[in-house]
Order: sequence, then structure tokens, then C-alpha cells
Amino acid sequence: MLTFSAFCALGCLVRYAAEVFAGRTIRVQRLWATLAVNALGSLTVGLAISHLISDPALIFAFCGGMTSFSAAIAAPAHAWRDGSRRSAIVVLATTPLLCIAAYALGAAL
Amino acid sequence: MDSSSLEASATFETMPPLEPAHSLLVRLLAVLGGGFLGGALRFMILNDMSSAAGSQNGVYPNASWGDSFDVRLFAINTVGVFIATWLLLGRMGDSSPDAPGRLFWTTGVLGGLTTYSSLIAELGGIWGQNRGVAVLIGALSVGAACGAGWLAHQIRQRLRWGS
Repeated sequence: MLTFSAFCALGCLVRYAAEVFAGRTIRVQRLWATLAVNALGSLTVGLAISHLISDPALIFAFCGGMTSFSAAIAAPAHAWRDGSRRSAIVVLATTPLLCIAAYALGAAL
Repeated sequence: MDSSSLEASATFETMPPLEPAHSLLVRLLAVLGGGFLGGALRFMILNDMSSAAGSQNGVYPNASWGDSFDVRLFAINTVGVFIATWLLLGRMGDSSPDAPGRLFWTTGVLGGLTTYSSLIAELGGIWGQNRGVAVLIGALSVGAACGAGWLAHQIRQRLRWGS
């Protein structure tokens, strides 16, 4: 459990780094970074399951930390409250589609 | 003051202030600590508590790919969305996104607890067996999460009006 949790924590750190990078360097709202890491995590899991690793538990731990279902819904809700309604709707609607597409791509590669 | 030092001074004034190293350390520790806790919770919930030490079942969904919908993952994600929305629409949402408390709870604990990749992997496994069921479960999962977020928002508003 400790290894699983440690990999999960590292995944959270990657997500946070992506959010900071998006906010400070690219200067976009952080929920776009959440969308990107959710898609990247889904791609990685698709790859891991289909091709690379026979026991992908730690990949699931890392990607589970990197991707966040709560942030995928709560961040758009927060953005909606702050007036960024278009971004909120776009992120909310595109996240599942993009993640499914990324997973399928990872599995097909 | 010569032109080069004037230019250097102007550049310095337009740079964002450097944050102290301990602030960065606190933020990293908040994310790591929260993520560790959230990951441990997810591990314990997705595994049988009694056999968590030895079993891989539930660490990732559909270990056999013959199983289908994992209600524990559904519950984790739905409850996680409710709590995250509740927190972000309250005082925590007014704080800086880099506030250690906000990082610990929303980015760390709830981010580590809930997962999009496992849900997508679960749907991928179900898709191979029954595409209609996969679409239904995907829609149900996202719909329930949106409902949980909406419920948190409604309760927040009622409490605000009541006070």
C-alpha cells in the first residue's frame, strides 16, 4: 500500500506541476492543465494495459494520482462561479471524450 | 546610473517577486502528503480491507477483465466530486490556488482518491464485452458526478441564503 500511495502522490505532483506551468508560463486557466493531464493519464493507462506491462498496478497508482475525476468536475464548477462559463462548459464536455480518445489511442499504438 | 544598470533595474522591477524556498517546499509537501493519503484511501477502498496486504484485486479495475462495473470506483468518484465542489465553492475556493490547505485537500487528497484514468480503463474493459453497457456506465458516472457537483452547489447556496 505504501508503494501504491507513493506513486499516487507523485502523480498528484505531476498534475500540480502541470497546473502551475499552465497558470504561470502559458498563462491559461489551470483547468485546461487538468484536462491535459487527464487525457495524458488515460493515454498512458491505455498503453500500459495493451502493450507494455503485465502488472500495471503502479501505473494505475501513478496515473490515478495524475488524473483527477473530482478536479475534472469541481474545477469547471469553480470556473463557472467565477464567470468563466464558456471554459467551464468546454472542459466539462470535452474531458470524457478526450480521455476516451486518448485511451483508445494508447491501446491502439 | 548608466544605461545598463537602468535597464537591469527596470528588468528587476518587472520580474515577479521570487517566492521563498520554504513556501515552495510547503506546497510540494501539501500535494505529496495529500496525494499519499488519497492514494492510501483509494487502495483500501478498492481492495478488500481484509485482504489488502496480499491481493491485487481492485487496485486497478477489472483485473480479470471479465468483471464489469466497479461500484466502489463509482462511489469514490461521485463522493469525491461532491466534496471537492463543496470545498471549492466555499471559502477554500476564494483562497489562492497555491494555498497549502487547498493543495492538500483538493489537489492532494481528493485528487489522489478520485481517478479518471481508472474509470476510462474500466470502460475500455467493458467496451470489449458490451459497447452499450460501456456507454451507459460512462454516461452514468459522468452524470452522477455532475449531479453531485450540482447538489453541493445547491446546498452551498441554501446555506448562504439561510445565514
